[in-house]
Amino acid sequence: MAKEWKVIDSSLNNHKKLVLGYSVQTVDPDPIFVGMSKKEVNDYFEYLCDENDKSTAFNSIAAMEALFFLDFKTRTRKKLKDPLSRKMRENITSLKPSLEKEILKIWKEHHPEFKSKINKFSGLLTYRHWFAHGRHWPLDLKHRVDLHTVFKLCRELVEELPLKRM
Amino acid sequence: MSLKDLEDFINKNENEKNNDVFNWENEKKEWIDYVDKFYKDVECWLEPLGAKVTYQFNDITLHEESYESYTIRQMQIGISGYQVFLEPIGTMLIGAKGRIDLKGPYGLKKFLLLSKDRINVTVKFKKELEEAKGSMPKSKQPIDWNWRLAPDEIYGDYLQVNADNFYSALLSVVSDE
Repeated sequence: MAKEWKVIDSSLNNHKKLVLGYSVQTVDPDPIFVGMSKKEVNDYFEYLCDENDKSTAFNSIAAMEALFFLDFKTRTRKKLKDPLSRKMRENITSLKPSLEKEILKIWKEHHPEFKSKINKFSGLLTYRHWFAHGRHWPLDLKHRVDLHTVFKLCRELVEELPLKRM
Repeated sequence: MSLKDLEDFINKNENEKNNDVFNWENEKKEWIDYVDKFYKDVECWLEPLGAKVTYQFNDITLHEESYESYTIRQMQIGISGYQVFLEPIGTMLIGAKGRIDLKGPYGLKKFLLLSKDRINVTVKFKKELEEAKGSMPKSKQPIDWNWRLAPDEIYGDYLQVNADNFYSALLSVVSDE
């Protein structure tokens, strides 16, 4: 996902340079940019880059969410014998368990060494919900995310947690 | 980077300014003239409305690129209790010689100064002067620029401004219907 983000980010920056390199009053530039000042062009590409960051952050968090659910399904369907899997089978009976209230709670109880990182991931879920539901309410400053922090945390969770996959 | 590198950079830019193929002062004067002609047309179009519409001119300051700021007139129109502004945005734009925004309480419309025949004449940004040296703009004939209303959709038509579409634009920025 980081590679795809980089390709889009680089493409946007290269396109911005191309547009800003247009001579003033050049005929037939891309109609999107006709009549724009340099500041407006810069603002537009800044907005696009920001949208790329936001979308990628959302996708990364959603992918990590999916890994936790896949792990849960693997542990319960295969009836794995380790304490974490047993606890999940005993305590979670719903077909649609809550990630934060059930799955992550059990993870923290059985793997306290990962509690801090799992809590940080839980903190990202407010952003995930806001983005998934159309961003129709103002997001508190404390819930805004930095893409590179998201990348780093998700990478660490994937590399360090004993996540199971079918 | 040394002090000498910085001094060389400053001197290079000063020399380019002095040897400018692109004459900013002429460009600015021409742009201001086009704005004034546009305002004259607007005054004619508003005349039939008599005392129902009022207008005045205010001086504003524009800052463009790395050129010195300058004063230009903004037209303020009073209509049905609302104040609407024809605000010049500038001449250093992408794909247009100039732009005036019509700003009202319910919207914004843009008027662009475009080449009538879409002749491929370019005027360079300062940083491209090195490439432009020795090559004057393709045509030394005066270009026929005219004011056009920018479409709401990106790929719509740029209609030449006349009384009717000016009235439509004005109505759209003062009415929420």
